[in-house]
Amino acid sequence: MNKKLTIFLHLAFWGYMFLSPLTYMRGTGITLVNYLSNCVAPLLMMIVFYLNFLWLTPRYFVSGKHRYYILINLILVTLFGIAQNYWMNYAHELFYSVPPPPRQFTFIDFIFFVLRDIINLAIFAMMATALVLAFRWQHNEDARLEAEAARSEAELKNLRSQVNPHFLLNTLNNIYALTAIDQSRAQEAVLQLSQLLRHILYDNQEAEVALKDEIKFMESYINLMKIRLSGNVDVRFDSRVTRPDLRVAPLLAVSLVENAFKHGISPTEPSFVHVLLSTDENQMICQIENSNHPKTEEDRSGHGVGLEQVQRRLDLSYAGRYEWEKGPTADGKRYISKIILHI
Amino acid sequence: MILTCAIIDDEPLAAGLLENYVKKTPYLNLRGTYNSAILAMRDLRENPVQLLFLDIQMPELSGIEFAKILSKDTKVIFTTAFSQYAVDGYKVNAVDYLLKPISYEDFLKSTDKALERFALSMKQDIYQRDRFMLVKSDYKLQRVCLDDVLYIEGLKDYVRFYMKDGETVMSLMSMKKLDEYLPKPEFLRTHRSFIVHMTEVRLVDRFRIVFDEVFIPISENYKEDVQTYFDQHTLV
Repeated sequence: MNKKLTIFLHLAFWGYMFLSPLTYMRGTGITLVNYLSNCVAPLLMMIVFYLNFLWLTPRYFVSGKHRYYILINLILVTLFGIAQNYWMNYAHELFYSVPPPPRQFTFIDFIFFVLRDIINLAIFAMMATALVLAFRWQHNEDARLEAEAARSEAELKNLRSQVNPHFLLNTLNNIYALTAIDQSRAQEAVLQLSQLLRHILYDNQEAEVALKDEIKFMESYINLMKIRLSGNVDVRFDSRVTRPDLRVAPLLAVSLVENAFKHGISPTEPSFVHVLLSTDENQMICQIENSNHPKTEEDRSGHGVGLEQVQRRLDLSYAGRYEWEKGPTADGKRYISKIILHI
Repeated sequence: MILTCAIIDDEPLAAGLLENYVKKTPYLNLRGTYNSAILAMRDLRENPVQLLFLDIQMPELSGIEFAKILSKDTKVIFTTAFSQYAVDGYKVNAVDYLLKPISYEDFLKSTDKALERFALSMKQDIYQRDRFMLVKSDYKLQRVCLDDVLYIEGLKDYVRFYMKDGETVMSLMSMKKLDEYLPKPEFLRTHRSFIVHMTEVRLVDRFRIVFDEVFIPISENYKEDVQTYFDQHTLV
């Protein structure tokens, strides 16, 4: 809330409070002296309010010293309540030459009026505290939301930069081996790796990249995976893209492709990994299909980390605008993972 | 001496590189390359090789697991891209481990180490079987019967054999080398400068071994094996 508005609201409220004695003074006649003597009530309320607003609540209530807060307030409102009534009686005698109203004040009446004033004052104390707490809560909430926004931004950045370092190490080792075996293939592989790194280092820093760049990246990635595999694996990558300039979140599908290579390939049996990327009017579809060779129980290290990351990134970037189906087919021989983005 | 060897690696290029290196190395004879430990299992059980290049990180059956079920006569050199596995590799008594990418230099160092181990164990077998060794002494070869040795003393670059009949034989050799060749635990190192023929020990006095007038000390470094040997033979 801005400062001017706050000050205006405080002034308006207390202006109203200080004018209110006029309404019940009509019976006794409005004079300045009379008015001023009646202003004692709102004045005490104001003191109680601001004492609580500026000092007691921040100093004692918020920091958990509730006992001091209650004790000081009790003393305050009791003293003020009694003082106010003595003053009113005194003022009556002072300003009205006429004796007090015909009805005689008894002690019980006095107690009753004191109690009324104490409760009034206490309500102001509580009001001040409630206001302070409300402001503080609002403030904390703002800070919390801000922190959360910053965190998801950082998280998104972090998730984007996750290309498995093992992949890089393994690829380099394979290229090293290639240089001893087949130099032209080694050259080709270095080129692919360089393209892939360029995409990760530069394009990937943006929240979204052109689909055609993403496709080039996937091609490099899959080609580099291929050189690690033996001849019994059938790897295919197709793209049927009508909107090559579509902006998409980078490196989303690559975790799934990585998974497909990790879980879909058996060293002893024929295996395949097929990747299809396509777009139409308002959606982008990425389908990854691989032969299903589930890992044995003891070999589940790091299982599901990649998938969790994909889930998180989809939630952060495409909340409510994506579908993701995954699972083995009915016969258990193939595993299909399909992401549809509505863009 | 020629070593028969095999390669197991799930990545064809890594295996290809090792094949390339093996062919370059005259004392290695390649018997087979496998891209999975499962495929290699039957072959290697029926026809064990002497040296196996074994990748650690493989699906289905890891190199470490596979090494545990291998024949005792097969020595293993692990290959891995991740150094944290090296520790595990030594637990299964590997000759060495090679960190990818593997250079021919590193490869040769490891295979030389394996060759040395084979040469050593071959000699150990011969000494054990024939119960004697020939040692160089004053430009001559002298026969030392293992059964006649009481103890051996190390003197700088020389060792001196003390025989039962009071004779001594001097030879230019290091205690470390000699200790490796002698059968265990028949011969045990008890001190930096002493190896004792344990089956000939008659008396142990305040943890010193006594041969007639000579007291042979047992030092802190070698105490454990000697103590174990005595404990095993002590009547309680």
